[in-house]
Amino acid sequence: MHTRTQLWARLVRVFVVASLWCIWFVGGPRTALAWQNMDVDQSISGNIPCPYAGLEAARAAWVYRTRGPDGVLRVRRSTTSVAKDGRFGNTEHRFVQDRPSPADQFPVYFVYGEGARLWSAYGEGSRYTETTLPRVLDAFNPPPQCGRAPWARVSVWLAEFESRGITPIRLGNGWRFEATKIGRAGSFSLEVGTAGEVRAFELGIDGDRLRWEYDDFREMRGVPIPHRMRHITIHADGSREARSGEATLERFERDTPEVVAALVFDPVALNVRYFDESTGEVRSPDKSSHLFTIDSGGDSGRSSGRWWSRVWLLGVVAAMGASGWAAWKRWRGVT
Amino acid sequence: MAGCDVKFAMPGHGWWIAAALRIVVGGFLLIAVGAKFTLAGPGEGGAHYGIATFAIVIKDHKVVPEAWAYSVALSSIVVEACVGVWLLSHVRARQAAIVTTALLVAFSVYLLVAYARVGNASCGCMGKLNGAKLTDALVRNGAMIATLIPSMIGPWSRSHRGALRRDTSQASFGVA
Repeated sequence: MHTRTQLWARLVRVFVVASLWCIWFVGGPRTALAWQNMDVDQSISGNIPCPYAGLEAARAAWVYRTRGPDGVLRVRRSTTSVAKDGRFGNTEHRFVQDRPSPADQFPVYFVYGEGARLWSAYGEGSRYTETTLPRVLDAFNPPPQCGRAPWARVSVWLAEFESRGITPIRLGNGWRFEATKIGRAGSFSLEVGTAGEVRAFELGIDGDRLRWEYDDFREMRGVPIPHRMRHITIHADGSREARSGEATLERFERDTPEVVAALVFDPVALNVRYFDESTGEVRSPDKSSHLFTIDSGGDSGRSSGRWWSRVWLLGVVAAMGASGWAAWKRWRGVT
Repeated sequence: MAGCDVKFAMPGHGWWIAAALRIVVGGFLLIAVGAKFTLAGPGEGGAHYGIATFAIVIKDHKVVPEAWAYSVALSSIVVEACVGVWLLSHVRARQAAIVTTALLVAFSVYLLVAYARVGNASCGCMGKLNGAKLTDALVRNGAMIATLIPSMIGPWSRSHRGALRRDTSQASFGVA
């Protein structure tokens, strides 16, 4: 006959063993295939890992509307992320207002790095490249969400870049960091403002330079959010051209319908903010907003950890219920 | 027994309230343990999950040596789980509350040191359930410690059998 204490001791032992098993089962390193809990970015290429799934330090997203020559109002969503370890990236998604066709919200491009490497993808991924960057680790550390103070540490950034042999070039409104030894033909540069905000970055590909410029920064809870973005191609002869993704959009829609169908976009979860041109305010949408009518598809797959976290949650709730029952019995004096 | 003024004192409402609060804290700790496993992040050789990611968070706090980060992450999760189960068991409730409070105080000291070193960085305590910062975690720890105070108060932490034993012994002195 077990006493209650023995019973609890046995339960504790079982729980500890189960916990250790869970730790072994889910705690170890996984392969890159585990990067499936990313949201929209996985539609570009299964080979490109999502760098901001969990350790994201800050993500500033903004939405702006543009009316094309055809008179159609298009909504573009851009997201700039800065990870704790210094990686940063940018994605852009586009869709047509009032006609939320999934095909209209494919990522136009994204560029991000991980430590010594930089990945970039343009359009539907046809120009996927992988390059090697000089390590810029900690250059963006601490993350911008830590408040305003870290952004005053531009001098630290400068020292970080200098320590890696990248000489900052003083600009009128900040600094420019150029890296030409990136492991392939091309270059990478980053322009940072005096407040620490990323003003522009360029990626040299195939003789052209793709340049993304940001301005009209407004601070939201310590994170400088740009409200203007220009996407420019600087040709080898120095001429500049605004780029458009129309052609790739059509090809993407035609060639990869299954990928298009799998696109998900949850503006609330992504902390999207948009600049309301009519009022001049930065606003956060909710799901009822007419701008964002596509439901989130949520995470998928075993690697997302959802199924077992739900099991765990159920187990905890059950344990709390059992504990409450035991406490009630003890309170009533029932043994 | 005639003339014997023995009161079989049941644990009062205070005990029940303390038990309920222990259940809340214990459940919260266990949920936090599970939530840490949902942390996902990038690694040099690919993705990593769970403890490995929590270890990266600890590493970022720059409080413990990098080589210790994984061990600290693992042990803190295991200790958190054990304490959560202990609280839910109501076995030696007062000691459980004291140990949990000590653990939370230790966590809070860690959070303060981390705050001093890296600013108000992400805590990682609740995995992906929320992106709590260090200051949020400090407030939460304070709230949990306050929640455990009733369990550490003598009369409220006394179990039924303890109360029964004590009152019986007192009654024996009262029997003429």
